[in-house]
Amino acid sequence: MTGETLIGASIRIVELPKLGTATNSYGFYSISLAEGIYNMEVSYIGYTTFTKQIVVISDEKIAIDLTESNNLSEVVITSIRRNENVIKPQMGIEKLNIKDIQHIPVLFGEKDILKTLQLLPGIKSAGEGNSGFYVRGGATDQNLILLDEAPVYNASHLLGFFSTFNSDAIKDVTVYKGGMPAQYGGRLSSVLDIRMNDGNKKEATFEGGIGLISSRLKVEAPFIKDKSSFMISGRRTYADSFLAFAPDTSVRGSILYFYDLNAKANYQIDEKNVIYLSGYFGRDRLGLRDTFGFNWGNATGTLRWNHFYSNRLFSNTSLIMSKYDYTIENLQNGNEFAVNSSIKDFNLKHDFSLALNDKHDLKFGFDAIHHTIAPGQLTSPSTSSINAIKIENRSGLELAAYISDEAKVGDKLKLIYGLRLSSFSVLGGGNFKTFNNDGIQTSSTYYAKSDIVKTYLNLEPRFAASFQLDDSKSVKASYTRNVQNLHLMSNSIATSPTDLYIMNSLNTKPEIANQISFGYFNNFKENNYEFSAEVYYKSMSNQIEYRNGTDLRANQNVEADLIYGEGRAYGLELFFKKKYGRFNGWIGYTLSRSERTFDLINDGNWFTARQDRPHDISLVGIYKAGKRWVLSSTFVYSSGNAVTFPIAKYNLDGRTIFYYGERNGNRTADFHRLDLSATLEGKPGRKFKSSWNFSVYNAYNRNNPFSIEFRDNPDNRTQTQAVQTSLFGIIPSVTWNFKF
Amino acid sequence: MNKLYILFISLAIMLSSCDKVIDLKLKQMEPKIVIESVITDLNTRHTVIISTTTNFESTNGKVPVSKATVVLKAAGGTTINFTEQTPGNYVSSRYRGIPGEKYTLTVTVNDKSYSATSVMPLPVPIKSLDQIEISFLGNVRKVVQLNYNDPAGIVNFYNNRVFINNLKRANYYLESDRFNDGNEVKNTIYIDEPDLVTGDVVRVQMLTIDENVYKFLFSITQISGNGGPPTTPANPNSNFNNGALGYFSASTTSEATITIK
Repeated sequence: MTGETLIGASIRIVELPKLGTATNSYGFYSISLAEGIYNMEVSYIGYTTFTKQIVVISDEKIAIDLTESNNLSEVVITSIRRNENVIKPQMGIEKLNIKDIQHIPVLFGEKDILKTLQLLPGIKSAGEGNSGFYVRGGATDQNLILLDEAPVYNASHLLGFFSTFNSDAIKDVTVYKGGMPAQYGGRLSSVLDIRMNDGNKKEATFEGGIGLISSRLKVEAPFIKDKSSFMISGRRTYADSFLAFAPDTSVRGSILYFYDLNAKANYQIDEKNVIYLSGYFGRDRLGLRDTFGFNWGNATGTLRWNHFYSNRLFSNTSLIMSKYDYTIENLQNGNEFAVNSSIKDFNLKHDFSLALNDKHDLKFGFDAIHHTIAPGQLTSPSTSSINAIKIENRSGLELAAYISDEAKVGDKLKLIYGLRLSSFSVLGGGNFKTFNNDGIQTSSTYYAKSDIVKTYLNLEPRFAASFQLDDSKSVKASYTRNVQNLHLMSNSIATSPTDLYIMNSLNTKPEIANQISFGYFNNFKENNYEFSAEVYYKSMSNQIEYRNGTDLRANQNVEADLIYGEGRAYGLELFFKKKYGRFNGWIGYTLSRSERTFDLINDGNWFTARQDRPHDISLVGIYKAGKRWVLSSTFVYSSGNAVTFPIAKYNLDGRTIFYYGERNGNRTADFHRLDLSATLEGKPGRKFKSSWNFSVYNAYNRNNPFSIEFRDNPDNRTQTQAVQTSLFGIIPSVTWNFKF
Repeated sequence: MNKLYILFISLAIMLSSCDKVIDLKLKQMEPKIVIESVITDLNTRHTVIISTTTNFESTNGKVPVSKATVVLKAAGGTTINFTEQTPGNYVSSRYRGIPGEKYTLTVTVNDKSYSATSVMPLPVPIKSLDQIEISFLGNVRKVVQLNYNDPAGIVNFYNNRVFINNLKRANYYLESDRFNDGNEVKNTIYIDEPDLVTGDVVRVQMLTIDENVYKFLFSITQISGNGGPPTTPANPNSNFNNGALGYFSASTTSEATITIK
């Protein structure tokens, strides 16, 4: 018992099995019953099921404490097998259990929610070892990543190899691949809703770990027992510590590390009011002494107030800020300069949830976000030969209001239907230019700070339905429209800290996606096994690409180099999961395509998007061997990446130049990899718990293609050759974790 | 920057990255015409080189195109004819290009014409070429620094040709004044593989180029795989029309030489 609120715990009335509900993101639930005596059951994976007899005469508030069950003895607990996945109309949703994540093997033993997510059907890695991901054929910037409701603009460390989410500090992870409820908006492809731990309200606990790459420490404790508590969690890498031993002094002056700090505090003012304050701060730093410096990072802060108007009406009010920025410094004598760029949000959200009766659950609210993008400011000392340049800031105001109803129609049909009205106003304060199709400027108008340059208004219908065939089978359908007003400009296939965010403008219009999906859900053996099949089709408009040869560095007129087109993605996702027992795990298979069309690329014909990987298979197995060992393994297989190969070459100024064929018309070799992990838990029953995690990444040392380069053969300059680079061979790692 | 990127990744996670030569079945295409020509403000015989593309598996080098008609026209009215001297190499009579003049080069091969236009920028003289030393990851390396005054208020682009002991480096050393317009520019030219050693004679020929030529050459450096994260390669936009590849540049030149100490 920690006093931590649980998200998605299931509440069931034994006498009325059809009436189940689940706790919301703040641990709140509401259930309507006729007067009488009932047995209520509350269950949550990893916790002992709670049963209580309740006598219903009037509205009543029941707070429930669940006890954490010992991880390894869970097999003997006959807890309720949940079938929400079948009953609920929501589809395209995946939840990650934080307890599972710690056993799944990952690169360098750094457990990472973003990499574990990539093992689910429909979610693909943006590149090996990369925390960027593609959902249902969409780009990495089309994922809305929320940490305690604050958007995180660059969710990766060390040029993409680690995510910014220190899993010690994370309580719950939910990803929506489609059919997003109306309270979410702003990105085309997915919503990743991550909630931090609130902090132990009962007693002080310490948790940490020492790994190959980083060390972590988390402290949780009550300020006032049962009323107020805090959590603080930190992580820092130390790869650069080894540089201190380097033989030459200039290497010793190099820095290279990242750190994360997550903190959260809560205070229960009274029965009806709770406030939460949470924040994240992370930074990467790298530099070479007297030559070069580079740092980047995110900062987010969320202040939330939960208020219970009544047992049926719950509200959450959040004040949120988020900032991402980077600085590059050139320290070379005579050419010194620094480039600084940032994106900053201030956000007010007000959400209500109203349990109208046992047939209707309403959600409604509004959302206001003020965005400021500083695309780049170049500063230099007067002795430098580099001039100072300031590119105009851009700001925008994003407003949205939504309403959604989760309704039960008869015994078998359930619906979630809602509407989101969103607007985006481009705010003045600078010169706004328009460009024609050739990238030639056609107008330039100055707008004062108080002016609205342009407003885009969009209506986003959301609809999901489930029809229950019997207790363990259902069919579902959904339709979603999503609108995206911020766009990430990236020329490379890997994520880079210097990727540039732009917002809607006179030239760039909101990206819009329409997605329909259908699914079949079937649980077997008393919900021990889950099977689902979903098909989807998604069309995307106002997609953005660069013209050839665009120079992105501090480019005042980057919009002149943008071209706009359409996208489509479709596929089939199969998922089979064994949730309980000594052995659990899942198999996911995705068959999908993702394509784009731009007038200026590939003669306007549809071409394969870089997110396209037709076949994708993930296998995850976790086995509790004996009392103390947990063994696990993952295997992934996917089609190679869509890439562009040359179809000819020519010679210019003594150099070999390649002439490239159809955009993404070729494919690299297939990708596959096996990872293994073994965790030795400490002896049970002690206050001080420690565990050892041993893992092997790429167990059979497959050389998966990362990039293919074409060049002159260094041994015979009269010939050319193709060279494939593989990043990671077999990599063993070990981590020691403790908790007390 | 790209090199640093790779370096830091390698340091950061002690990559066990590995490279191997692979065999790919690449598609082929009908050969295209490739034209390469730089005319300058030097009183000299200018050249136009015409070749075709070849398959990836073919031997490197130019496949010459003979019997083409090559005509250079200045907007002021001057017309200069080129004659084929060796296969694929077409040479003019002596002519000094005029800064500020707009030139059109037209090449006709098998009744098909390809033309490109380039405006010769105003000349920018090199002030000096110096030797400096920089420390890069513990190695003290000898490099050269090119000093010149960038003309203020106008957009300038440069392509530096670097010769070491009279052997031309294949790299394009491109510069623009986007970040240093009107300044005393100290442009460090990195030369590696092999590094410069005492006694090397370094000659730098600074060519002013127009924006189209800069964009074309910049695109080439972007697709030439000099490390960094993989990008989607796209073919550079030639300033020739009708599908010819290559470029035509009217450039002023300035030269400086230094012997490495």
